[in-house]
Amino acid sequence: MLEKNVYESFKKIVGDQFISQDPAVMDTYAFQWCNEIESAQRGEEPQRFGVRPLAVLLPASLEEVQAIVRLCNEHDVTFKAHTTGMGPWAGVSNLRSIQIDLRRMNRILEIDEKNMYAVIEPYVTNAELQSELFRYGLMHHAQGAGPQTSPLASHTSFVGPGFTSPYTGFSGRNVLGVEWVLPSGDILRLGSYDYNGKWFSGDGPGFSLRGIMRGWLGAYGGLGVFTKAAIRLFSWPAPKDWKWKTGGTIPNYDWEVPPYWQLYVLNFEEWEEYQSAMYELNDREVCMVATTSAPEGLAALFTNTKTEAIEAIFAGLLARTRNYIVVLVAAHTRREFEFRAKLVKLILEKYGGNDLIEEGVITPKPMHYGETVRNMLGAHAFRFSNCFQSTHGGMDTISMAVRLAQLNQPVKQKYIEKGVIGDDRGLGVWITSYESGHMAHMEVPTVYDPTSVKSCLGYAEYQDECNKMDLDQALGMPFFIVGDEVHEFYAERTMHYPDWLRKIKASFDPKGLSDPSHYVKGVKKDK
Amino acid sequence: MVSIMTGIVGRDDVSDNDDVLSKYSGKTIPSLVVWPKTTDEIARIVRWANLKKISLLVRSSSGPRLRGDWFPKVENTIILDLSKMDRILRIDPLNKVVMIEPGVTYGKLLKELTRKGLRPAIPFIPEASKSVLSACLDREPTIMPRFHWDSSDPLLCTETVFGTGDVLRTGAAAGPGSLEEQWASGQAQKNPQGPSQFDPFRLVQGAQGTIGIVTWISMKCEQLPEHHKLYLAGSDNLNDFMDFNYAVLRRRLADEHFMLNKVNFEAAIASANDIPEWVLVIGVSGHGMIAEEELEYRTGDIMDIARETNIILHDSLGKIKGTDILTLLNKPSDVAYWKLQVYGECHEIFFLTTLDRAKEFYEVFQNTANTVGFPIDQIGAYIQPLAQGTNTHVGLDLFYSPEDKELVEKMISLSSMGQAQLLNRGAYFSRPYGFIVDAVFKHASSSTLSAMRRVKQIFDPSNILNPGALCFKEVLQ
Repeated sequence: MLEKNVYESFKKIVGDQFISQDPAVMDTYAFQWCNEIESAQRGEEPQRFGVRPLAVLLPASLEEVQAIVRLCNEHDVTFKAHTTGMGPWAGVSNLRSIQIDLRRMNRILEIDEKNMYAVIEPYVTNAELQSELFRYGLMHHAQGAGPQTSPLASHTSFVGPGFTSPYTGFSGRNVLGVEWVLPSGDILRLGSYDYNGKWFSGDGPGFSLRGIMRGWLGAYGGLGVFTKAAIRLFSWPAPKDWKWKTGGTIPNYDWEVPPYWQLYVLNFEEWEEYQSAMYELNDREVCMVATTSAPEGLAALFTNTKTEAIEAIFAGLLARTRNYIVVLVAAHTRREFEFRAKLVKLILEKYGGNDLIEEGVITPKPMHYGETVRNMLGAHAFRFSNCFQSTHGGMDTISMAVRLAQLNQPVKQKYIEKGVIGDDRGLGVWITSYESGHMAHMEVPTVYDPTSVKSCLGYAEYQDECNKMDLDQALGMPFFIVGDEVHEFYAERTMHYPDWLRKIKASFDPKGLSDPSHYVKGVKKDK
Repeated sequence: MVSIMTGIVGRDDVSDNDDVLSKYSGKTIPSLVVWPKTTDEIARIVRWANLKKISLLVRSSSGPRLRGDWFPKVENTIILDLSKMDRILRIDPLNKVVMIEPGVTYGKLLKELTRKGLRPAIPFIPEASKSVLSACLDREPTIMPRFHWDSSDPLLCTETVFGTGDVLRTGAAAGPGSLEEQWASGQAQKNPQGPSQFDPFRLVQGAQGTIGIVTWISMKCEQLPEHHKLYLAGSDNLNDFMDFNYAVLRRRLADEHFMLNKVNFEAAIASANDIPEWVLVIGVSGHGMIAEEELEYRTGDIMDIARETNIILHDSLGKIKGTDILTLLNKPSDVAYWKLQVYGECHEIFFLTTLDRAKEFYEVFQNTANTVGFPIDQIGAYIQPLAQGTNTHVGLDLFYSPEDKELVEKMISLSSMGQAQLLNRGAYFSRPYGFIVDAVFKHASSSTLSAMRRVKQIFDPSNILNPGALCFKEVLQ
């Protein structure tokens, strides 16, 4: 329990209305997607409930967040920041913990149209930011988790692929500065903002403190609370007079596709041709989207209901779909569009592929164009089950992504045959490129049944086998290599990097109060 | 000390000869120069230096020091000259990446990359002897903002010996697996982030050698274009280019994209009559299939933007042809660095801002020059948009003759007063050198200084790496 005086002190910071210990409210923070997998991996009975926080606080300002963190330090209370979080990493792990829910900090503070950056608070969602940016002809890198999620969380604290990654990059590389309440309660402002109040650079003077902030994966809330972030923006490829127009109702709403946009599904018989085409499409900067999933995934992407997806599958989609790239060409001008469209066709011909849209195998509706750039398509994966999770996830080159996909298939098939995960013939993958193909990653979305102990344990075993394969075959470090035990599993063959992480944690969070469950626990500093 | 170093690197690669030491000396003379050739040798030296509390300063380039700060700041410093580590370890055209050691110069790299159909992100006409790795570590601006996604580009992965003597490969290079195993799995050390939940490459980059010693890097490259054109525009007002610049940067249409004032244009490129006060340089290219059509579409859209923003682009400026400038931009400077050719010496000042404020800062600096009596026509300016236009490097070059003692004094006054003025008005000295270092860190919040010192304590707890640099003023005991 939280001592009464401590609770009262917290209440004084945020006010009566914005603190709760209601068990029903606490349960909503403890009930998280994929908790059943993590509990299975810990050798416990799979369950979706994690640890319940002792209280939830809803601060409204930097000052309130700082006061909460300082009070946590005073009374040895662990804390975890929360925005739109979903997953075990969103909850707390220590029994003496509070949850800092940042949903009241939801303002877009600045949009610098010319210099192309926005300054946002934690609970601004992708949908809100995107809507505001359209009036300036701009867009941001929205992570694949969807329009309802927090871009600040992705840019500061979590992995950041998205459907538009070839064009908008990766969340962690688009950060221009942050306002950051360190675990001690000190406020750190990175880069130019600390010097002149402007957010155009997050690096220096000297080295960049972004180096301790997140790395590739993000610190998952294990190193303090981010209260503001400046993120890079990108040109929205549409003529100046184009307006966002929708009609109809969900799920069959309509959307006015900008004039120089075209979706393709470029299908290749073999991975070799796929890989060559993926490299060339990206290098030539013709794609806003270049992504790959399973044939079953293609049915899910461009239909509106489970029934429609199944009908598409039975209409022959599986038989005609091999290794494909969903390509979105999105141009600003007719000249740009004609060049890009011509090049896509030439690359398709060069590598002997066929366009499944042109052949009528699948037909995206206008809303699917909108959902592609709103990162809604990921949600379609939930249609076949109420749950999936990803294994693997290393990020480096397109070649590595393809190799991962090839090596994964027989492993996944083994668990499909055991009946513990969904049957996609082992082909279920998600590949995307970043920064015009300079990087790529592959992960394996895998459907399982969260209500079945056998399925949860089976999925957990599959994930463990994938991790071992990634180690043995040098296939990069997956998304979910976080937390002490998993870090340690990787340490020996990754130059013992966790030792450095632990030193950072110990130095910046000597009391270990910023929830370390999906980061790392610190070590005592050398005397 | 000599015998220990000789034991590690061999007699031929250690020197305490006065003539040699003088080449590495500023106010303080180093005690020794050592030329290690392997990561293991460097790690052994660093571990020994930790035990003995001996400071180490790394040099990789052999050219002139225009920032006046790359010399020992404390007594009894050993110089680690990495110029003999000069191998290009790997070129991977498919993944557009090269892996290089510290001693690789732009001259050497350009030649090899061209053979493989690649081009690097290159600074504006660098010194021939400039270490590519050093430029990347110093976040040196490059001339193609379209390919500059993150301020850290084109730097990707590194192998670093930290101040503790521990070796870590950063980014995806950390593993799993050795480099050879990673190559076999299709990797190419392209993801600079990590390993895992921190970015150590961002801690060694910009650190001026205070966090670790980098023994190789992987670096982003681009395909060599088959068709490449250069366009020029002139104006007496830098802000005349503003709308054009922002529109082109937003669309990522151009390759080379920067501005020079007349002084720098004449110093770096060519002299001619009627060169305007400012010259805008725009390169456009196409490569691969239908390369010519790519060039046409990019050029067409750029010309449309130029018309809309009242900019007239030419393929030459008087007798100076764009094609000739393009040749200059794709090779290092002549043996005599262009910044030294006119007056013999140059003092560099640079900072970050946004493009819309570059003119304001330039004028502030000119006013200070007038105040101290430094001639305006000896101040070169180079305006380089970065990070696809999100921010802008402003470089100011003070050209002077070292024999003109009066002018040297004025240069020193201008550097000191001018930078202080710029700092006070919001110029961001993200890579501080020389006069401005202490003033920059006085502007920093206590949290920033505390965080930097904690990082330093983790990675170089004995403060043996370039002590006295940045905000790390502690003296070795």
